[in-house]
Amino acid sequence: MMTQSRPDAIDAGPSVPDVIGQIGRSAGATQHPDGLKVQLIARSPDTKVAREMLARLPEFEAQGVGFEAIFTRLSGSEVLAAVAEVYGAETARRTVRVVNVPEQGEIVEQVNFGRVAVWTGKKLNAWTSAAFEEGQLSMTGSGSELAQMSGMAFRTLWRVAQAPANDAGPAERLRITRA
Amino acid sequence: MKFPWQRSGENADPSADGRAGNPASAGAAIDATARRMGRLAAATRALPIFASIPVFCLIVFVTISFIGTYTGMLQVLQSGDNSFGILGIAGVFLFILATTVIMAYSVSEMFRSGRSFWPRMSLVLTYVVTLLISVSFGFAFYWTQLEARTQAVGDAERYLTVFDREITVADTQLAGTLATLTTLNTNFNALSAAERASGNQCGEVSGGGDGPRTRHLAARAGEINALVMALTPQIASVRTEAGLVRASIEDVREIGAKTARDVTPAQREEVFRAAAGAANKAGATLEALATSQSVQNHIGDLRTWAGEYANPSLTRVEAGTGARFKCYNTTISSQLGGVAADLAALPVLPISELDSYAGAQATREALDRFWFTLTAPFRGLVDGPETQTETEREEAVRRDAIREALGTRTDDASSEGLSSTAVKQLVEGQQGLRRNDALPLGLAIVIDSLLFLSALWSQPTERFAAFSRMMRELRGEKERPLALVGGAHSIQANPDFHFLRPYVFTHFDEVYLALPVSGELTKEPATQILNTLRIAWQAGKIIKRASVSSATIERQLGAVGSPLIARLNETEAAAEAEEPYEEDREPIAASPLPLQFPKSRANFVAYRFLPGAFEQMVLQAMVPDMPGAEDEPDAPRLEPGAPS
Repeated sequence: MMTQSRPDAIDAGPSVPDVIGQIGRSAGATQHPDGLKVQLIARSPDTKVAREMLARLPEFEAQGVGFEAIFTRLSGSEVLAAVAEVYGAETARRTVRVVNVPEQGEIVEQVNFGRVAVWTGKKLNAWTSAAFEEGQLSMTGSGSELAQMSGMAFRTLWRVAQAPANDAGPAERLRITRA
Repeated sequence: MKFPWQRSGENADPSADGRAGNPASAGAAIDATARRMGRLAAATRALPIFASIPVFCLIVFVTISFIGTYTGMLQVLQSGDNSFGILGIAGVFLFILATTVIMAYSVSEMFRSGRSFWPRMSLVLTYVVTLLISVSFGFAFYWTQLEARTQAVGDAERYLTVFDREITVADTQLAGTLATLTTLNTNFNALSAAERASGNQCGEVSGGGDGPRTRHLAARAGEINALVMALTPQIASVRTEAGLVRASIEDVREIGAKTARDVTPAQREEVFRAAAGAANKAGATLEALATSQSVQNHIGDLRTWAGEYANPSLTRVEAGTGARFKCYNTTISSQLGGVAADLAALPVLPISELDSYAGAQATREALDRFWFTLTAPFRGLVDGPETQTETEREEAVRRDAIREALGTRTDDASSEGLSSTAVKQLVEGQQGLRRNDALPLGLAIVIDSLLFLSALWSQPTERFAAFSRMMRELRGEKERPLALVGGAHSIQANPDFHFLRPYVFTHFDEVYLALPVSGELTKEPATQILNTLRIAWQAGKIIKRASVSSATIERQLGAVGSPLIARLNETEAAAEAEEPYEEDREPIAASPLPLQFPKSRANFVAYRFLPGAFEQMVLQAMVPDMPGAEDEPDAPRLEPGAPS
């Protein structure tokens, strides 16, 4: 069964460095390349969780953990610059995608920490975004059903997303409603 | 937005090459699978096109039906004398728009599975009501557009052609009758004078002078003169009106010779209507004269007199003097009989009711005919069967036209066995549908039938699947387990897909994804992530929103042992336990409104895996290193410790 955690348990639960460390330790055991990545779904690089993850890119790289992100809009090229600074310019453009599909506002913010944990926040059409402490962190464990589902959800959304355009223009379909 | 397998030569999965290893080692089975995927990919690419055709058809037929119904209703409402402002037009627009949409909606919902009998019957009733509105006003509109002009002009032309012939014959006959009456009057005056002079005009020699025979013939001459003076102006009036009709017919012929560019339809209709109106009035006047009681009395008197003068043994007694005499004259008898026969055989001119040429009145007449026919069975039940014959109906129309033309002279018409109420009822018998209503009525029915079919096709479950499911439910067919449904075996067999099992169910051999949409389940991360997966699948044409009721979804999930149902029941029970409202403790409410409205029972919505896509999705996950994945140009793969 899926492992779940309550929001109030996050304070006492593992922090991002702890989870990243677990990903690094599972490097030898995991069979799937997505198990060694941090995968982010957010409205824009300006959201709280996105800024936090981007700020930790050097930490991810130091642990041997990759990074992928899906946004509904790119606010400038900061995210590409941040990724390029850590992983290289060539890789940066393949690391970020922009999604523009119907009902994308109903998607919740999501961070897959390999197959170790899944973090979920607010819907993308909410007025505000959730900080890491405000979301739900579910320690899934490798091979758990929630880990498989979150990995497949990210990868499926990745397939219908597009590489950022040169001008990195905003997506149009997202409608912001009150959270 | 497409999935990689919907593009040729693409695969955007960056994880693919992480396990790629050696594609050749995937073996013949994978190669065969890849070949099969090519065909499936083509079908999947084409799927959105075919899926959109019923929706397109539905939009087209809803629009056409709306235009006909809206225009028809607007014309009918505008045919009244009251002003009909912009608000009225907007109201009609919204009403018909809502009616048309409700009609399409009720069709799409009618066959939805999981409905009980009465809700389904209410949808059927809704469809029937909206269909009647649509067909009736649509028929009236199409009648006005297609048939009214041709019918009205054709009727007028045929009618006036017949009338022109009949009026010529009638005028000749009336002229003969008038001449006979004049001659008779002249003859009687001469007869009276001859009797006075010679006394030999009554079959026997009397000696002349002012005897009883002379006084009798003089008195009879006076009666004949009175009769002639009474009938002559009436006949002359009819002849005058006939002359006007013939002049109108000449106008019709004159305008008929003009081309369509030289005369507007309105001008043509005006001339036709003037001619038809004049003809109707002349015919009605003549018929009123022929059937009037005074003429009938005159005819009786003339026949009686003719019989008396033909009888040589008839002895007359003069009033006052008591003198007895005989007056036998076959010439007089013959003339009187001839005049009586002429009056009895006054000509009958055709009278017709012309349909409205176009516009609101024509639409209203068509609508009246439709509803008159539609309600005929009910009126038969209420009023009893109508036994009137075709001749009676024609007679009723004729009398109604006489009544309209002559106004005050309706007593004659109603005094011959038909009361005004009976005449009205019989005239109404002419208001039913006619042969030439078939085309516009058929057109309205065909359009609404196509709307019905396209609404059925455009359901989320496509084509007649909803109808098929309903029939299967009614037949009590059993569901097949998930593993036996095509393409769904991996959901059970492959551990990579175990996470889907709580959310997947089958419904009549189709695989559906159930998404919780209310309650505590929606707050679970698994549900939120599943919703992300659902949105991505929907964008990639893997699944499509399906019209399956929440109750059916819950039943099917329960049948396959989904833990969601148990959790749903637990959360609902907990929510009910926390509710402050207890029915048995509820005091009399201070407000007429209930404290809590009933909760919606829609706990789940269903998404159907599209044909072929489900198998490909499973295959994609089972064989991530499919041939072609290594060629993906924009598939990133960040190895741990990649160079910065």
